[in-house]
Amino acid sequence: MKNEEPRIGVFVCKCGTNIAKVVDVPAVAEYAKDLPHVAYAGWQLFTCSEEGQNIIKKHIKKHKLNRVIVASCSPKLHEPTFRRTVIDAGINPFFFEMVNIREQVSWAHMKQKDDYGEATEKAKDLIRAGVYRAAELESIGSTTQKVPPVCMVIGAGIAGIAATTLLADNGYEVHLVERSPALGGKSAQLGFVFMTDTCGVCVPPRHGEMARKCLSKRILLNDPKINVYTQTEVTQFSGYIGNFQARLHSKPRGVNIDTCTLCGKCMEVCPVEVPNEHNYGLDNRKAIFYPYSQAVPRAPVIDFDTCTKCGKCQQICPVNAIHLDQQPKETEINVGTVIVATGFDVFKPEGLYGYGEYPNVISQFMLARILDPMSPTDGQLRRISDKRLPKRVGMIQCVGSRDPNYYSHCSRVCCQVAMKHAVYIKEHWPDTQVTVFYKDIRLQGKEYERYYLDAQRLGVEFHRADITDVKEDNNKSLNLTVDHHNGTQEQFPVDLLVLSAAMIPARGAKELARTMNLEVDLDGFFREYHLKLAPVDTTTNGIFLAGACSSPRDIAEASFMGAAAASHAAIPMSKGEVEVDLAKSIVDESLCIGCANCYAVCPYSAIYMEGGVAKTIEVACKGCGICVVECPAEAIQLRHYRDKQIYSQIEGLLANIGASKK
Amino acid sequence: MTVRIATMGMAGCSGCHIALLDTGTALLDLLKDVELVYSYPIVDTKNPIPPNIDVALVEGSIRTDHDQEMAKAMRKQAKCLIALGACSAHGGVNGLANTFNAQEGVEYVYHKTVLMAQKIVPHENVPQVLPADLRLSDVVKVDFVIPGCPPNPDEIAKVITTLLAGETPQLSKKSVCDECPLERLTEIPKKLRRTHEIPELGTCLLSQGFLCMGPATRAGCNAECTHRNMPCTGCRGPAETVWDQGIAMLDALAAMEEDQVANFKLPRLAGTFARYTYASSKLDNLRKGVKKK
Repeated sequence: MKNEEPRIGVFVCKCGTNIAKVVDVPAVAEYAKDLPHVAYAGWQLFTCSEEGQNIIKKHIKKHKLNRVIVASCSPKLHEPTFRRTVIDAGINPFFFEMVNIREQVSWAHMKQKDDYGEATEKAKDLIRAGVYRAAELESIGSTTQKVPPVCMVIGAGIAGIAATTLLADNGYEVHLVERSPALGGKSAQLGFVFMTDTCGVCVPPRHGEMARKCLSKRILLNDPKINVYTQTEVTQFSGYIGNFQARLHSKPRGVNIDTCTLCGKCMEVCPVEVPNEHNYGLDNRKAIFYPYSQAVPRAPVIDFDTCTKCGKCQQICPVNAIHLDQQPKETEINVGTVIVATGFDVFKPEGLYGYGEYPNVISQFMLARILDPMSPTDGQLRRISDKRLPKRVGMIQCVGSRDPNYYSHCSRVCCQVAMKHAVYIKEHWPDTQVTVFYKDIRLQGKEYERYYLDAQRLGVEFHRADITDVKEDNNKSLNLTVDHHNGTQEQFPVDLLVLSAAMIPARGAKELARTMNLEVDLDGFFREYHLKLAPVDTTTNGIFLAGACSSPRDIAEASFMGAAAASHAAIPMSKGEVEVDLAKSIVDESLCIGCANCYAVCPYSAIYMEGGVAKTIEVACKGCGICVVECPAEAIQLRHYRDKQIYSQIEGLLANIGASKK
Repeated sequence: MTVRIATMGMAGCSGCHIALLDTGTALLDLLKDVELVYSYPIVDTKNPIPPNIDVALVEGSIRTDHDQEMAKAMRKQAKCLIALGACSAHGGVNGLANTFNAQEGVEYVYHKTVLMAQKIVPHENVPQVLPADLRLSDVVKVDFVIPGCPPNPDEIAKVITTLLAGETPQLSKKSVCDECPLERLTEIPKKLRRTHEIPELGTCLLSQGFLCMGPATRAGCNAECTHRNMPCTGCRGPAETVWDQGIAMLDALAAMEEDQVANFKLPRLAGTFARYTYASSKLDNLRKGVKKK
């Protein structure tokens, strides 16, 4: 096939009027006929249609074509379609070349003044470049990689748990890795959740099931397919789909969860008291503590950072479950796929609106802890300073989000959270006045609007305003300077001020991204492969995203994203293998000098050093080409994007420059 | 039949001729079959360039209009024209002049330096400086290149004997690292260092953070410098597959930690990364302008 004379077929697409309105498609097709090696050129209304593809196949046979060019939309959209078409016609898919004359030509030049003018010329230039490149293309094969039915899920919040249960139900083995001592993630702190006002981890029975169940409990107690690692982080990560290796570092718990009966004696005798992070410091906990009521695993945990190792708990424990000398544990696991569901953290608005300075300025998460039936105040609304019922509650939206000085993104859930708390307060303490200061109320979702109207009916006040100043008075109440968006200004006193702080990437997300070679977006969230068409995929094959680690999401979204990630991860695991094409980097070992630059820069760990030369793992390689650029000896080439292919494309693009001026 | 050989020097230091003489006993063997018809350091060359030259070795870059004419004249007489040494092959150190405007350079020399008290730029009966330094192949067709500053005497002898045998000589296609004895570490340098911060013996200089141009430089010198713990300066020009020597090395160093690259303040980047190849580098716009004219 290599020495065969190229016979190129060029198929120009009108895409209805999408391209034809701006580009003179028949003229472009006519032009393409005279280009070197072109055996056929024509145009169609919709090349991607069944009919259009059949025409391609017909012409491949009729004109004995061995290279096919389709000039239409972005290759991201239809390259797979046409590759399939040429495979059906008996041509290697890498002899197909796509030229983008929609996104790059007709849409970009929609506003050109004269009909068909320069846009048509540009389309011709791009097609000529494609033709020159097509003549240099090579046939590329594929290989397969086995994928064991084992998945690692990082993060046991709503998304991670949803993915884990689904995978386990489908018969896959799951390693669930959680950094904190208990499962449930941030939703365990919420008490009750928006819309349904129910517990965040409580799931209604599915068809055929008899009772409601608690997500986090069911996992640990029932399923032999699930291995749970609490207080564990991923410290090393390497490999590729079907063969990921992760090194897990587990902090010691100090308590044997199998023998512990949760009698609570150890927590009574412990002399160390520190602020309770689960309740945002509303109360204190001991150095040996149970993270929160209902926490799973059902056993206390020792905080070895503050523990003095006095041994009192060990003496009093009736079942000898406490081991103060327990050591950290390292585990190595080998998995086929990975789901990252590391969630988010809440922005600490230090210095904004008096947060951190005045005791009665709190965040919505703290308010959630106050209103939780299991809270230190027993679910009673209380101020922080004097533990009295506030008469006036103010809420400020978009604290840290949609703010060029902090985070540019909309955190999406704050409107829901504020709404939930406002309604809850109004329902339980009708005399308390609740005022929400907002920029925009962004509530969209099933039946969300009804909740909003309910809030208004209950008497929650909504003011579109900026708060320019917050001052504390003698009563520890707060005096807000409100700039209404209608131009008026007023002083507004409140007893408790609640800030709807932004959702930001989880602590350690950056380090995890580095460990696992995940891409990170401008706000620091993990980047999905494609925002719309592949929202749970990452650039690394076999690693998927779920929940708020890729963008702020509410519980509903997190749970269905967990399900989506589980079903995506199940695809290669159920097939047992993945097919991988070999359009990947390839090392010329006679030129390689073993400097290991490529090995160091490869974002996908697809290169390893052996015998003083670099070698590519084709299954892991994504074909990004960084190694090609990096190689000082230029010993690496990327198949399908070899130097000569790119140079001939450039040559084709520029071939007409002199001619058009004449 | 004796083979007629000529040598010629342009903008250069005669170092390549010294290297030619340095072939030692090999030269004596060669001279049995060879007639040296034109060579300014070795034989009298006041005559015009003699005709029917079989092999011409040309040292130095093209800096003046006189150089240009001489190169063309030599091309007319020579069956095989060889660019000898870095200047002739890639522009050499002279090529770094292309980072300046040539006219400003001339004025600087004749107006500002101490020796030129008269402050007059000579323009009669002297060759005029070209706007840019050119390599030999920018002016005439070159049949073969012997790179290096200076070129390796063994390689010169080998090329000439191969030619005499009627075969086409071959340069190594690999890079200097291929011949380098130092032990490579599979890691990117953490910190850049300068040569006076003496390197450890026996370990790859680049891995230690010394800017060694070896990876991007053509092999064939037996890695003489790195053998002696001196980083390669890249005198043999880009290796066979390397598109641009300086750019390839810059690319390679971009793999270092971000802050290291940001702090990358080696004086005169061109002189460091394209010391011998600036005039043939993709970076050199001045030369392109001259060639067009």
